[in-house]
Amino acid sequence: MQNVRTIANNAELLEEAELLSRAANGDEACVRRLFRVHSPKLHRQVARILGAADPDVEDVVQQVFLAALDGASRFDGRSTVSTWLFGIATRRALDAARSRWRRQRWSRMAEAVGMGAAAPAPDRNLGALADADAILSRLSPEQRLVFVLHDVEGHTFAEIAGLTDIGISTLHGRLTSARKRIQQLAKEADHG
Amino acid sequence: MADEANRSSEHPALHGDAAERLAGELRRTPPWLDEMSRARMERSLVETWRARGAAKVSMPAPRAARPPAARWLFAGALAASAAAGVLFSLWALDDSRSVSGPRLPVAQFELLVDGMTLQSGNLAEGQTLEAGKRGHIEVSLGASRLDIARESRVRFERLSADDVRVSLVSGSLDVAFHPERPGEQHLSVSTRAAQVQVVGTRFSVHVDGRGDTRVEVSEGVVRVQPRAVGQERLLRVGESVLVPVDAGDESEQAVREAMEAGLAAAAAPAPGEAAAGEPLPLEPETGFDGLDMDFTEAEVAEESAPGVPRASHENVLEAARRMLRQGKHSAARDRLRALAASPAPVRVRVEALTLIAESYTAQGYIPRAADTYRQAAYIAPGHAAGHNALFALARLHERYTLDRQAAVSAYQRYLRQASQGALAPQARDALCRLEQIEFCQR
Repeated sequence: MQNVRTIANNAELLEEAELLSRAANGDEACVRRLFRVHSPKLHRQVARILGAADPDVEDVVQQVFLAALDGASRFDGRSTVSTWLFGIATRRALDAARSRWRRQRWSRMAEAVGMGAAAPAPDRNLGALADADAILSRLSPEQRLVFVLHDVEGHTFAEIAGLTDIGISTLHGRLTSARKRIQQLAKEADHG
Repeated sequence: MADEANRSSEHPALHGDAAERLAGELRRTPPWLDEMSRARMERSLVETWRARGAAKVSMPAPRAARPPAARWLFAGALAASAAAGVLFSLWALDDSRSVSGPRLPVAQFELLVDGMTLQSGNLAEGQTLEAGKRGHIEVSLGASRLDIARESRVRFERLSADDVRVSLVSGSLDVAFHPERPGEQHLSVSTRAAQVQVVGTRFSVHVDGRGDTRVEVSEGVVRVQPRAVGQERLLRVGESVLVPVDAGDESEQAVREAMEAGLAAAAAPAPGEAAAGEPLPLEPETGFDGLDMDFTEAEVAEESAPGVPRASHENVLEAARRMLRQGKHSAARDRLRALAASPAPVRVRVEALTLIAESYTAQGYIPRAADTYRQAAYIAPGHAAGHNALFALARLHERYTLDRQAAVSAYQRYLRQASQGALAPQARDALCRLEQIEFCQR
């Protein structure tokens, strides 16, 4: 029974790899199929890391597929296409989050020294965000990433390490500091 | 197993209620990709991929998981035959569809500040390099060498041994190109205004804040082709040329003026509509749902968005324009999106969307630019500003996506809505150019 399953898995793996290959070679129908199969999960992953209302989510998802199609030759079949895409999505989303975090450093600093509230992020202007998202937006990109992937999405440290190339002990430290920061922000919200 | 144990030892209950509540709340409300957004993203991806051309990859067969020892021979044979099938199909695809030559062995860059290497690495297609205020970047691409001046931004569109294509988004670029096989190896530099094709030479390209492009040749010959309708020109040693953005198209200035006038008069119906009676409703194209910016009446009635008071709309626009001139596209778009989503006057929101679209165009995100023009047209139906956005969308399709059908459709929609509009003559000319014969006879 296990053999049958392994063979079936192999066939799936080959089918996935062939789909990626044909898409990368310009088969538009395969590009569309690849997108339809993987976009919901990748969108969810990117939206978790950036925030569901972040206007860059769609751009990042598109970049993930373009990078995968451009770099299809680097897919070596040691993981599934899905896992490989997940890795690209995670790293791209983290890059985008870091870029935004850097851009907003002055407003955070102004807020920290009591010169007024930080300028609202564009996504806040689009509507009311959940308190959860508001708290997450105050975590650093690295803290947020490990918190949402571990505590929310249920990935293990080993899986996150595989997706991000970040060491497990580093991830562990970041998760601890993320949780502490959340506690602190929740207290501030209660008092404020 | 170890991971399971690890996970259970980190149960949220052990590390505080706030984090646990937060995680629980987030688990209950996972991000959801609705069908319309998915369709829009799929269209955008396919258009972008099509515009970039089919990729040139040859992919190794995936390594199948190792089957259990008892049946390994059978499973191995099956996997091998399947792998052979994949390899064969890859070979066949490569043979019939490969569109470019072999890739360069290595394309490398070095970021230097005050003569010291600060960062180095390999380049990949689609990658963008940006030199800051103090550094410049040297790139080695086989037979060519590129020097990216400080405060410049370059995107590497194609990196194959015989065909190197780069886009100079802003700033200056010095190029030394000495092919081993002259005539077979090509390098081209694209800017918003022109495309510079090289056959073996040294030259520099500079793009100013407005998008005008200056090309100077220090060795050999280059061919400069303005992007708009304009005459191709061969430049020799010591010669230089300045190509204004969209130069060569006599209608451009009129178009720009009309668009600006349209923005100024956005609150009032266009003269054409006044004569024609009620404005026609906009017909959103398939796949556009207008959901990115939900400009309902209820939303318009809301208070001004925090951080964007009415009095500061012009300041925000001006600040965003300044950031765009400095090449800070992403940050500028953030500000403009907030403004476009606020209950600001239609004129301001359309202008914000127009600037976002222009920024996307400058950076090569053409499908996103098209979506943004559609949104601009969507929020100002019956107004000149909305019509102008429609015209801009048509022009984008004509010049960038090269989607003739979409361009024709958008020009026709423009004319249906603004038959006497300021851009109507240009729209008719464009339709004639796109072989819609009935428009050539007027």
